[in-house]
Amino acid sequence: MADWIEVLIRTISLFFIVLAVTRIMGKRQLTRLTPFHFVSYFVVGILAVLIAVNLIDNLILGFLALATWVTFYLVLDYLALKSKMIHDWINGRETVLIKDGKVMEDSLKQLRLTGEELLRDLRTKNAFNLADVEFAVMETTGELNVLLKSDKKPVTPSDLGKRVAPKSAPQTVILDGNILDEPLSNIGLNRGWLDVEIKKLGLSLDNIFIGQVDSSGDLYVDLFDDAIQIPQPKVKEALYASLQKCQSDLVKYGLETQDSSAKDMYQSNANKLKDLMEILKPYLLR
Amino acid sequence: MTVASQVKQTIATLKGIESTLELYSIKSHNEDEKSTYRNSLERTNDIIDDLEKRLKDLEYEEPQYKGF
Repeated sequence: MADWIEVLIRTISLFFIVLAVTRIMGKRQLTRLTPFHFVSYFVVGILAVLIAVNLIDNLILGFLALATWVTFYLVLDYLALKSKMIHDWINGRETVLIKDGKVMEDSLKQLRLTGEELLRDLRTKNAFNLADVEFAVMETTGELNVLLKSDKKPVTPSDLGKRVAPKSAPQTVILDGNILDEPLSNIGLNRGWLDVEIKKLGLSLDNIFIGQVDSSGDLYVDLFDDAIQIPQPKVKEALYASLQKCQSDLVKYGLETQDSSAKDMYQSNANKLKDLMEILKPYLLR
Repeated sequence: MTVASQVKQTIATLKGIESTLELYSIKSHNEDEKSTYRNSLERTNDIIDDLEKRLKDLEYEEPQYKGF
């Protein structure tokens, strides 16, 4: 058999073997590999190449090495799943580098990390100022994770004492001008509803690139032709505005009337509407 | 415009609000959102009832402006 045919056959078969092996070995992201996993992937790759280009003549020996490595990898991975001790032994443990705003020099030394490297890693996490950092930990993958001091953290609605409406994930119902039936039925809607909504916007289906239905059942569309301006639904804003109008009307009637019981009625209803507006505000205005 | 017709207008607006809330309470697929709309709907309904009672008094006082 000619050499090139042999190499061709070996390469093709190894191509699929390596494909299968990497699928079995898992979904880890390449930048998030621990050194052990990284080396394992490398060894599999190198062994495959060595077998493919005939540097390892004996197919059986080559495959034995490959199979042994993969088996050990999988067994250790499985054991790591079962036992914390083995997990720590394989993957190592995370190291705290900054605690209570103070750099732990001993940990740095242990990781053979210099001050510059620490600062560089902090900067990649947007912590340019060491004084802003409360806590930083080096993960087993070598990634640095940072907890900022609580007054330097980005503001969340709960910090401001604001209520926000709960939102479920929107469903994409139109993609590339095609209706996606499954997400549509997931939210209890059908093509008939979608047809009506599209007609309301004055559009045709083949002009829509993406259409999404949000958690309150409103359709948002993006068109192929960006020159077309479509009216975005303002129903909720209008609803809030009419609530405001009614509330001020009630206050006005209360001031105008001479009848004291009617006055009380208007006043209490105006207050009720005010409460209602407070509750609905996060839902209607965003 | 008389008071009665103004109140009628407000009732009409409130009814519009009520129906929009009802629409959203049916349309939304988040349970939390649904129940908030439903609660608001009931409250709006109470206010409409109160105003309609007041409207009856007003129409009794000024019968010439009766009816929509």
